[in-house]
Amino acid sequence: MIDIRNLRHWLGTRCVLDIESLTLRNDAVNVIIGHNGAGKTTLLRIIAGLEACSTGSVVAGIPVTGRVFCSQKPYMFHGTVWDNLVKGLRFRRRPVDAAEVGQIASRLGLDPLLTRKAKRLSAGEMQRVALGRAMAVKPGLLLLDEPTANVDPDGVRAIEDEILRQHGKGVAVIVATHSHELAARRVANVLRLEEGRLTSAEMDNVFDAEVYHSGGDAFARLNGGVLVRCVSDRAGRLRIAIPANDVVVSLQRFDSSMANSLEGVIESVRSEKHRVELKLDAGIPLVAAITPVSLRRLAIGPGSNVVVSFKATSVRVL
Amino acid sequence: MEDVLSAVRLSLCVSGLSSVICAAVGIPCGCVIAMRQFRGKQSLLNILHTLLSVPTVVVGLVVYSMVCRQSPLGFMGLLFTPAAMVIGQVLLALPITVVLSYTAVAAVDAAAGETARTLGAGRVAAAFTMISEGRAGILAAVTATFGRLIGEVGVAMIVGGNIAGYTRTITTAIALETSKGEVGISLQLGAILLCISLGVNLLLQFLKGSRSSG
Repeated sequence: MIDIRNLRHWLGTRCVLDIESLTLRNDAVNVIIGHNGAGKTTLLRIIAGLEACSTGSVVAGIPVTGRVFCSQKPYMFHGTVWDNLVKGLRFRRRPVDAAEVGQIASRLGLDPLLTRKAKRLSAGEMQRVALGRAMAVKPGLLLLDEPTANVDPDGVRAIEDEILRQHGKGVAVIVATHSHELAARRVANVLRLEEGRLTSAEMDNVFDAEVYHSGGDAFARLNGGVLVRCVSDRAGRLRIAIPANDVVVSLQRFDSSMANSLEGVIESVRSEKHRVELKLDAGIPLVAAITPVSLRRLAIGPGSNVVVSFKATSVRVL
Repeated sequence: MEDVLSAVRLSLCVSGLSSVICAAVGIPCGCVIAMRQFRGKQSLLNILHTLLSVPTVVVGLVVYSMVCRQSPLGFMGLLFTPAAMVIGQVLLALPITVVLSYTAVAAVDAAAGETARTLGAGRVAAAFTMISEGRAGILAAVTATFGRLIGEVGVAMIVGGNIAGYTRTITTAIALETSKGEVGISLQLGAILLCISLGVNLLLQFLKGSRSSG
């Protein structure tokens, strides 16, 4: 569907993207995860045709006019939310099907906002308008840059459902995000971008689990028999994710409200400027993110025995 | 009274026509400068900014030397006609229109054009979107242009010649009446001038309001 070969992109003297080969599939929501500054936005803009790459090629089966890019900070045009929703159709000189645009608006929870001035919306509301505006033109390829940034939890659900719905309708979708929730869904083809390069697409702390209830509490039994307390109304074969930032690392067990404590060994340490990623073996492969200060204070490194703890509410049941 | 009406009419006609010409030429120029990157752009902007502060009498003098009988354009007999005043006023105010239009469009977030393009607008439509998004500033450019012209006296005096009933504007009439010692008449003419300015500003505000509420 989209074939990228030997793509290199420089901003000044800094190489921000270096991708030898990448194929983005049509049969899954493509999710690019990575930290801020990893090159996600640039990659999306290049695929969208808004920016030319320095060297290399991007071959897409969809013409540029069929690719719509939604920026992380969407621009709202003068006028009402409705004016913005139909803007793309006006640019394309297509008739405005009010019923259809109305449906998109109500799926994204924009009904009460339609007559409001778009420039006065909150950032989260703008994100939803931008997504609706993009969908109204029926694109072949949707490129979404952090579509759920600044959006409240209900809005996130609405946006994610809409992304999956678009995908279900045959629209190719590429989402750049640093949130793992969408990525962890089964429909996603996950790519990880670090400093402009593709790295292992393995998802951190995402596990297949058998979720069940016992005595009013919810448990998730992971492969390998590890039992994790969680909070969920659902049960059965599900996926769970444990955000690396929510995993607390300590030298000993301690009394706390955290329902989950596992003993483990540090396998590797990867340091960034403000963040250290510990890869642990705690019966399950776990990643914990801590600060460089904590790393020094605990005086731990590869081979150290530690205890990892996390709250039941930190466990996301997907 | 007849004289006053004629001066008001001429002021409105000359400044109005000059403003329209300035807008027609200056707004597109300002927009192009704002949206294109080219060599010498900063120098051009520096020159335009300098031209903002050129005294009106200097512009009058330049136009005078272009249209007087001995000059290349002398055969057209433009000196001391309303047409010469329009030429002078356009030269005087064009830099204002260009610079303020440039500022208005340059202040529009570049994301506006990009968003338009990704939503399917062609290059031209995307450019018009940028202009439309900066329309409040462009309206301010037109207002400032007209304000500069209705109140200027240097060009009108030098190339118009202050001929009663023909090239006498409100401002040149004020200059004349004051020099004759008729300060009362001058003050009344000044009040009329301010009223016209107020009226034009209110009209433009109204246009802006009715456009942006849509």
